[in-house]
Amino acid sequence: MTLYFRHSGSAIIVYGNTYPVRERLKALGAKFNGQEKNWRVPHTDEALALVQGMCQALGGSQSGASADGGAVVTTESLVAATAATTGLFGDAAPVRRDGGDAAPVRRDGGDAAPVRRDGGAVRARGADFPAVPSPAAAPDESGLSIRQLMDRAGLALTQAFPRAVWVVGEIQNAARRPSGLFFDLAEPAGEAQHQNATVTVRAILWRNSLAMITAKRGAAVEGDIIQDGMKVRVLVQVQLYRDRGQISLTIDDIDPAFTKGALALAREKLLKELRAKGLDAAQAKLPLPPFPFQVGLVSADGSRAKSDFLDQLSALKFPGEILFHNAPMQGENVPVRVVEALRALEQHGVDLIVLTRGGGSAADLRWFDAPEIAYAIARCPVPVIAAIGHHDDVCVAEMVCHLRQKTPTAAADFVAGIFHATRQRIDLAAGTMAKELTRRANEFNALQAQIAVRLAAAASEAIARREQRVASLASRLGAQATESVTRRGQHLVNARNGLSAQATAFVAQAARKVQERLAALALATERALNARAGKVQALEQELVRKDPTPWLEQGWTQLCANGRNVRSAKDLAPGDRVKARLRDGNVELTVDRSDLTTPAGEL
Amino acid sequence: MATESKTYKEMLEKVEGIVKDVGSPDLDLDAMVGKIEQGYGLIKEMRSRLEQTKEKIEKLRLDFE
Repeated sequence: MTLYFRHSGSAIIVYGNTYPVRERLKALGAKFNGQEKNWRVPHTDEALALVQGMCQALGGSQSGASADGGAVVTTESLVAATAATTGLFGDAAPVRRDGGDAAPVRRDGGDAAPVRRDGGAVRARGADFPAVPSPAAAPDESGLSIRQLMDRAGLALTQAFPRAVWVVGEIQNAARRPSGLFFDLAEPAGEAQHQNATVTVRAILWRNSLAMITAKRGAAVEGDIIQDGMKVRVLVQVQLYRDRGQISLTIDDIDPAFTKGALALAREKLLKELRAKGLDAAQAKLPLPPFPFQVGLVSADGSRAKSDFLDQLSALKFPGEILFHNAPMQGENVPVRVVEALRALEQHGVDLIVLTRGGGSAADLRWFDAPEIAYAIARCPVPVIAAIGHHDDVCVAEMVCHLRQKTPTAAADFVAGIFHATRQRIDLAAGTMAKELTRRANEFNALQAQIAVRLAAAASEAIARREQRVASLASRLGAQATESVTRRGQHLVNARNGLSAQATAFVAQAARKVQERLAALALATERALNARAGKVQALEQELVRKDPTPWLEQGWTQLCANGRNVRSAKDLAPGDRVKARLRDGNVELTVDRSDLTTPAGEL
Repeated sequence: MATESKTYKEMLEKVEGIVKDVGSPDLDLDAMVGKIEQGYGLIKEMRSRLEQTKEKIEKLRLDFE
């Protein structure tokens, strides 16, 4: 048996045939791990050099190391390592030198018996395989028989994997049989770089091994980890079933911490995404409906969870309506169906959604760590109550939902309790409101009284102000009227005075004119009188001059005929009647004859 | 109430205008007399309104108390 070592953090793990060097390892401060059957040497350059020397001396070497310190082989690297060692898949098969090609390869043909660890016990199995043919023993012309091929491949495989190795893969097609658990370990397509196809290898966990593992790791390993879709790290013996020419892994141990760690890592990554998008607490911010009369229920039809939830609501005399939407609570269809159910209920306009599952494998919880469900719940505008876990493990769906309840019954209690709580809140609010209203009413009364006083004062002031203004207006109007009338009276006085003056002046002027006229008249009269006096005098003189009286006295007669003085005999004709004025009277005469020859002076 | 207030305001503005107009020397005497009559009529009405308002306020105060 050979000695090997690998690095693990600050230590060098030495394993294999350590017995011959145990004292030297102790001298380096190494501690023996009885469970793992290895020595843990504190890492120093000196210790490393010494360990390397021991390994070289005993035909061993350094093995690869996984991130967590264990030697890890992936299914793909397992196949590649086998090919490289055995040449089964052609000379060109690459030898993996990375951390995954961690299994030490035994080169010596003598102490080549592979080991198998059954719950820690190691026993030799070398007798199962024939000796390796020497290189000189070339196959005959007809080639190797299949059995020979299988023998050689089996031997090479044993040489490649002389002891159990840790393998990481995803469980697929798990089946429980009386003899144990059978499943495929797979590396899904796309998981590794440039890998387009899923690589699988058959694995078996025998019943007795399972018993030892559950005794060592806990009973939860079987239910929680060995489930389809779970990524596991298992300690395996690599074997070749020569009858079928198939590599098979016999599982000796399971690392539950790896699976839980991987799940936790994926879950943490999802939670980080949700937090970055502000969706981790989106549901918690949603207000609960005060009266959830329409509650959507997402669960598996016929499940205990559904009946527990409905029975409890019925017992609590839930007054609302339950809209059930069937969705499987285990299996790969869980995410899609649960998301469909959530969306359907959301579109239906329910007040609240309850997502619940009954008991069952805790491993099925991982479906509720699916991003699809987490995002659907986080983005759902309706509060989602989740009762999924039933134990201390909390899935992402429960982390992002509005509220987590442990059981369907508890969820039903909570839903029914919303009504009760709302009623209590209403009662409390009513009491508080009544007190507050009384207090506010008292305050308002006091305030009202104050306001009434202020209002009355303000009203009085406003009325007084207006009265004052009206009085002022009346006064101004009176003053204006008086002033206006006075002004007009003054105008009248002025006009009267003006008129009087004008009249006086006019009268004076008229008097003057009258005087002037009088004077002129007097003068004219005088002149006229004078003129007339002269004329009278002239007339008198004429009259005197023309007066016949003296002539009549002297005997002269004045004849008149036809009203005219008769001055000529020609004016008379025989027969005319002539009036003759005498000194003492008048006589009428008749012309008998006229003689125009009578001399003057003769009568 | 708003209409009454507006009417009061209108009356107030009218009286203000009348006071201003009456001061104008160009105003015809008959027109001036007419305006003064109108002004005093409005003042009387306004006083009546104020009196009514006071009574109303007093009544409201008594009702309130």
